[in-house]
Amino acid sequence: MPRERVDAAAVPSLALVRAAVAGDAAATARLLRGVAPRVVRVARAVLGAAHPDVDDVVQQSLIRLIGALPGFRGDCDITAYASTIAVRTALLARRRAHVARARHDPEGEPDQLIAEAVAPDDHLEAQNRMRLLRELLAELPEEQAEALALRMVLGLSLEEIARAAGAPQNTIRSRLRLAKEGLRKRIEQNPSLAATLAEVVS
Amino acid sequence: VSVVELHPEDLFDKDARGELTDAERARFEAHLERCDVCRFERAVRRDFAAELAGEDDAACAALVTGALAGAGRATGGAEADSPHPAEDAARTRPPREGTVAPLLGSGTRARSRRTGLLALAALLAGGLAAAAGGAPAMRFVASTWRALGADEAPAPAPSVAPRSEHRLRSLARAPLAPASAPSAAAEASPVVPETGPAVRAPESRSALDRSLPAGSSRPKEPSPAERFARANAARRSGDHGLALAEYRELVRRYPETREAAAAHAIVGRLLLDRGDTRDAEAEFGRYLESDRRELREQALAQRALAFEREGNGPAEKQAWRALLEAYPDTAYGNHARQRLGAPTLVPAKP
Repeated sequence: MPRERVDAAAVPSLALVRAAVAGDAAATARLLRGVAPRVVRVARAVLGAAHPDVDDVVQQSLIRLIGALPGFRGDCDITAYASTIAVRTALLARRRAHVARARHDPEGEPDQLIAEAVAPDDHLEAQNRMRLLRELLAELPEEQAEALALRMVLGLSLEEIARAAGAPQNTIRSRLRLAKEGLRKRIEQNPSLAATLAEVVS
Repeated sequence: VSVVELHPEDLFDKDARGELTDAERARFEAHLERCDVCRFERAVRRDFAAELAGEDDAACAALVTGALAGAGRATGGAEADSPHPAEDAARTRPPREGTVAPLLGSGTRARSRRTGLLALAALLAGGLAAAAGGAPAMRFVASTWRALGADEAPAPAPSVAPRSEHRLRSLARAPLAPASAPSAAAEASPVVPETGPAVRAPESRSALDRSLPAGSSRPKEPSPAERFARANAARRSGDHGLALAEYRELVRRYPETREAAAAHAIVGRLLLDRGDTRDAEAEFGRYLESDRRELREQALAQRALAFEREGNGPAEKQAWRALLEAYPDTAYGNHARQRLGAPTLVPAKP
């Protein structure tokens, strides 16, 4: 299965990163413009496109990126680095929204339902899968949610997740196994989803 | 721990890199055959890969501007000497509320306010230009709009773009009607200079378009999805008048789309919230007449709520029963059963 990769031509160069770290305001602006489209897509992927916090998460992710730039060693491309920050920021926002929604009445803002309402019919199964994962991410313990999101949303390898989390690969394996146990329960509670998965083998 | 729970993470990685041997591929496929979780993972990775490969968003420039404005306060360069970027990124705390854009706050509402201030300037300039018939002033209007969101032209659509107050209010008052039967109120609205490209209707573009230099790119007609997103942004920003106008325009232009169907349900909700129960009930009814199903439960429930607030007992009772019949486990079930059991709805037998 081919992994989704960032277009290399669109990745800001290390020289641009260094200029931004050195305090070149124009370079910082160019750098942010270079990574922002990817950050927007990651925020939407984790939160759902209709989530009201998408814009705030994007801005916060970009601000965090600027703060983290001095420590960027260049062992991955800056867009992938920004994507990881965006996943973490979005997970925090999703968790906060989940807690807030639990206190909300059932007649509240129907944004998530609206997003489903306008999903093209042939994408409904994909929308259902992504929605299920987003809901799970809001409920899992923080470290499991991060490992699962980096794995399934960004498609990172065990090695890449371990490097991003600063943890041994076996620890990441353990987090993923526990997270997938939660996923298994979710799938079992959703017979129609399980039926559509029967067709997903190759 | 069963065999199924030992998910083959290494095989997933090798598969992603295209490095599976034949034997490993056979083992991987055999695991997928019996493991719902890994089949889900394979499918959802593809789903997200497609999602992440989408087109760039025109709103990025405004978000970058906001981030640059807030970055100085939020970070202060404290992490400059850290050797562990990943850990630093994990530790970096989100900025306090209001630090994203120091002057105007953060997020959609802040962009709306920024947009509003600049749009006011554009509107004033547009009025002067219309009065004087001067192209230079109208070019200022166009450049002001381009300055709203990006360095590059053409200007991206602001999430909430203002439009002529007169036209907006007349649209907000008009009933939702498809393009084949344009509302009288909309037809009767005088054409006034629009304040920006993002929400201009085709029939009122001419004044601004003529003011643009030859060869200037004209913004294309927004798609139903773009109009829907714009209406949702207006609704979330609290500008329900603008949101109603945008939803109505969407329904008028693209009456057969799924976005238009959803617009009926959302407009119903907005009208219900402001106490316009009769029109709300009609909008929910229009959604229920469509072939869409995704908001059906909400539309049935809120139509019943509209009847309830209207004091229309028989219709309310019928509506709650229709909801319970279609969705026995609905989140509105307790309220529905309570209402159906209320003495005012089910008179006690003598």
